[in-house]
Amino acid sequence: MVDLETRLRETLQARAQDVEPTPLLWERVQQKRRRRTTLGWSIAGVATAVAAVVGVAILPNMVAGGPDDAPVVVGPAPVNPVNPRADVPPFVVIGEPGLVEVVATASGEVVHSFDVEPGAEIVDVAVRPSTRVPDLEVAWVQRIDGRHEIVVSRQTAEGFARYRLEEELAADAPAPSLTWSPDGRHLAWVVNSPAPGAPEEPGAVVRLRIADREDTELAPVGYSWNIGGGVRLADWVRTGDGAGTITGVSDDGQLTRFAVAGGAVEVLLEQAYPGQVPPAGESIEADPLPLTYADVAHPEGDESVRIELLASGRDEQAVPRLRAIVGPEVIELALPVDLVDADPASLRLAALGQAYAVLSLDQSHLFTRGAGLVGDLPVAGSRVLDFALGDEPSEPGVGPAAPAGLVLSDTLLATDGAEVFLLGTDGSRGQAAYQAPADRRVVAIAARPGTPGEAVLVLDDDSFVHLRPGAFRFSDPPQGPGFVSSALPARYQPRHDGARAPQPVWSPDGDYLAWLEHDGSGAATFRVVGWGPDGPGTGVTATDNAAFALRDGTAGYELIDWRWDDIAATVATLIFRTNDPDGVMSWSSGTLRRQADGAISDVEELGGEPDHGTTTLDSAGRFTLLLRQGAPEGPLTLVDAAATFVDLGSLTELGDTSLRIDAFGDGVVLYGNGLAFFIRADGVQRELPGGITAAAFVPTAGAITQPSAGHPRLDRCDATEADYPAAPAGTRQVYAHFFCGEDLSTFPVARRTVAPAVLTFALQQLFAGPDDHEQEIGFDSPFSGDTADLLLRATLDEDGNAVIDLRGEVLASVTLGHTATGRFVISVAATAFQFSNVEQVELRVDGSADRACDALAEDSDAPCVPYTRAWYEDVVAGPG
Amino acid sequence: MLGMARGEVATRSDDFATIFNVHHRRAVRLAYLLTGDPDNAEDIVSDAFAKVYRQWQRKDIDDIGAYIRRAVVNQANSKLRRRYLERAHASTRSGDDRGVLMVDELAGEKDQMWQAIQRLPDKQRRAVVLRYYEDLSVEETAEILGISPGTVKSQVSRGLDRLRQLLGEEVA
Repeated sequence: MVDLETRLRETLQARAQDVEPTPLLWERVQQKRRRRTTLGWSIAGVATAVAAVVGVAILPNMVAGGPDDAPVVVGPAPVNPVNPRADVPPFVVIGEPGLVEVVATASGEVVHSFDVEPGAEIVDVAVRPSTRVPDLEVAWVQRIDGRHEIVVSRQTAEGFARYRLEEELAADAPAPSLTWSPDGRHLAWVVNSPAPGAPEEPGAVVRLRIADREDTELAPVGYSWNIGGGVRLADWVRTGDGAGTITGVSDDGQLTRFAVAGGAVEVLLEQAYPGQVPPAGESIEADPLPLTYADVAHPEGDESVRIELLASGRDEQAVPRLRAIVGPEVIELALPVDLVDADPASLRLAALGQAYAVLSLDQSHLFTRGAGLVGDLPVAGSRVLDFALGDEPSEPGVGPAAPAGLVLSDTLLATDGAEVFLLGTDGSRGQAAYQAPADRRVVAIAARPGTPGEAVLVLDDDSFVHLRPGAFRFSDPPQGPGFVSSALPARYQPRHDGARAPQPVWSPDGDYLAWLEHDGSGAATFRVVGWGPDGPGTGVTATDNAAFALRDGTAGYELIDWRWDDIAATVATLIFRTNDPDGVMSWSSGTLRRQADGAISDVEELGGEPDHGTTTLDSAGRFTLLLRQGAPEGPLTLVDAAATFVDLGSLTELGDTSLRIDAFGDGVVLYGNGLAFFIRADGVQRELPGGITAAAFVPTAGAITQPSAGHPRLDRCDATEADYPAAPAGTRQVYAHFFCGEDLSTFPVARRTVAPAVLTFALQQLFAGPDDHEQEIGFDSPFSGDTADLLLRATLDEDGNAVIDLRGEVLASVTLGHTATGRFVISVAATAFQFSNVEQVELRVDGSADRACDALAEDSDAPCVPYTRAWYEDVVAGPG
Repeated sequence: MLGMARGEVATRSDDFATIFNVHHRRAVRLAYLLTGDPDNAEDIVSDAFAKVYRQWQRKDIDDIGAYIRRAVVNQANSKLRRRYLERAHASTRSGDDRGVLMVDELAGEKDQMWQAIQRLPDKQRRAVVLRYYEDLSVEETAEILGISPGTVKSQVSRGLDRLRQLLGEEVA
């Protein structure tokens, strides 16, 4: 008897012989190759900022979008955010070894791939200005077999024309580069040849060539100057009829301008630095910082913009800086986190039009002059590029876009002292939730963890401080107060009102509210109030209203954070902050113990740790640390749990005494002195409107409309989205997808929300199942009220990857046979893919993809890979 | 001095065609063994080669054969997922809550071993095919499938047990 493994091998080999490829296969490969879209890049609804080094200037109006944008965005995203307001050219032409491609900037789709000879290394690319996609003409310089060649290729023509450069190249000088004349008629390039007679000396003879593209042989006229160092061509602008200026940049940052008039070319200027590219004849002193790369752009008219990459520091300690120079204005551009420590010599940039610049390393990034970083290039490691115009490709979409970035189910609430209101990520002021009495002002908002909208407001009337507990509720249209509150019994109120109102801090489980009080002595008092399901008070006196005197010397301390150290939540670390009379901020830690009956038994302040910072916890329990290095005006640094450092500059305008942060995901809101900033882990910052004195993130469940509060209703279950009336202004209408009868086609049920986290909201509504009326008219679903809490969290990164994390204990209550599993997946997919920027959906259970596979793919019959939009459209939504 | 030479028109398609000619037959057969569906095999392979082309242009591929193999496995995986949902549709329409329609499709199949292979869960079949048709090592199989070598061993072992079980049932 032949053993099983041998028979298995023989069977597989025999069966394989049964299959022969058809002659059509090659043609199918060619067709798919031409229409492939392999590059991942999506526009995100988030913004970026430009931070100046001298002080900090966070430019206003950087963020587009309205309340639809999620206030919660996150790294560590694989790509940096894209500012949707940035005026990015619709196409970018990328040159890499063996590759010249035209890529749609927004989608990352490759719209054309030029033929490149095998083995060719692309060293410069220039788009012919008079051409546009889809009939783009591109010239590039390539190095192949040790030679340099200029290649000109047109999008609509097969192949390319190649012209060999046979001049000798100077060692260490820039490789040949090229630029087109503004009218696209002439092509200019430089070759940096060794200086004659002194080959061992650095320097190069710059040989500028200009050829008429319309001439068949591209016969150039040539000019040579010994200007040393070599030059790379950056730009060619028109200065008059038949006249123009070509600008070259040397590796040491010198600008060289060549005047072109008629058939003559002459060198106008050899040095121009810094500032606007100066008029002919003017010279400006060189900047002391070594410039590693520069490029010049002329957006319009006579205005020129120079983008510079500089090395700050020396040798191995050097780090890159990026800045734009517009006339007399020097704008520091914030580098993405992954480039702040890069070797400046490894970076390159290019500029065009509205001062777009690109850095090349492992990732390439796009900047604009006005808005700083606007996104990543879709191809990592691309070396040279240019930008191209053309009709922007229309983006396929099936519905409104969900906010990109991690969308946590939080709502940002802020106060200016007089009101508490919803705050949009663009800084827009939304629905008001609470109006402070005339004689009081809101000085703090403390959201209770783990609850839908519960919070405590701190009210100050200059004589007394009052805590006011309640819950935020929003509906559309507004119905009653947004903050349903009640008075806190006097015994729980702060007893001593010091110069500063207490900032209450919740324990992470929401079981305790604590703050420090000051009675004028040298010691602070730690106050703690137990909180039960019905509000303050648990019936245990020692828990409900406890006070602990801290050591002398803690006057002026402020409680910042409370973190349980153990799973049993019996020992906690407390973080205190203090400010000395000079305004120096420092931190110290303490410890707290809880007895088995819940009573707090011991609180102790353990001493100062001057290097410590203030911390905050996000909803996942991860901390973010804010450090001030060298108080009071030293740089602020954010450090998150992944040890990602974000330098914020000094931000002295926030002041140290009132400086606070609140965390959400990997981002924080940092505020003080009435200013507030939204800051992501990757360094993206935006200024929130002035006058904000406090802010908090509150779980969204309390801030969404309920099904009975304004959702449109129909009387049949086979309606389409078009059958529902449009949502009123200020609300978003999304759809949960249920079934209508036995068929596996899903049908939308409209739900309205004022909350920004629409993906989360739609899934919450899906998992709650159809309501009674909807069931009566025929809607059916695997979900019901029993699964209303199925969603643990939903996230969406900027590549469109949605992760839907389910609660295992809830999922366990759902009986899933083969059919039910299919209905489960299809309705989730239909609900998620209604958002046009969701590209794929990965299901998890309690954070585990494997557990989701086990639960939803019985007998391993379904490969455990994310569900893609293509799959959804082909299999579920498609005709088949 | 500058010298210019008028260039010729050239493309890279011819070079890639050579690679295609060398590898496409084995790729189609691998796709067939992974999915059991000869009609889908060419679709999988054409998708795979279209993706390989880009990497090949960028000269990022050290071992073109291995790269093509991995691309085929990935594409087959996507195709199997699609088939899974199609079955979910079909089973719903037929009221079969447990159904794997393939059982009926295979009823007329004479080769018991081939029937049994096709009834393996997809993960086990992928591991078995790569080990016994492609003759890959456990480590190579693990790398292609993106799982640990231990998981490969487990899936192959469970696959062989499943085959024995199915063949025993068939014989009986």
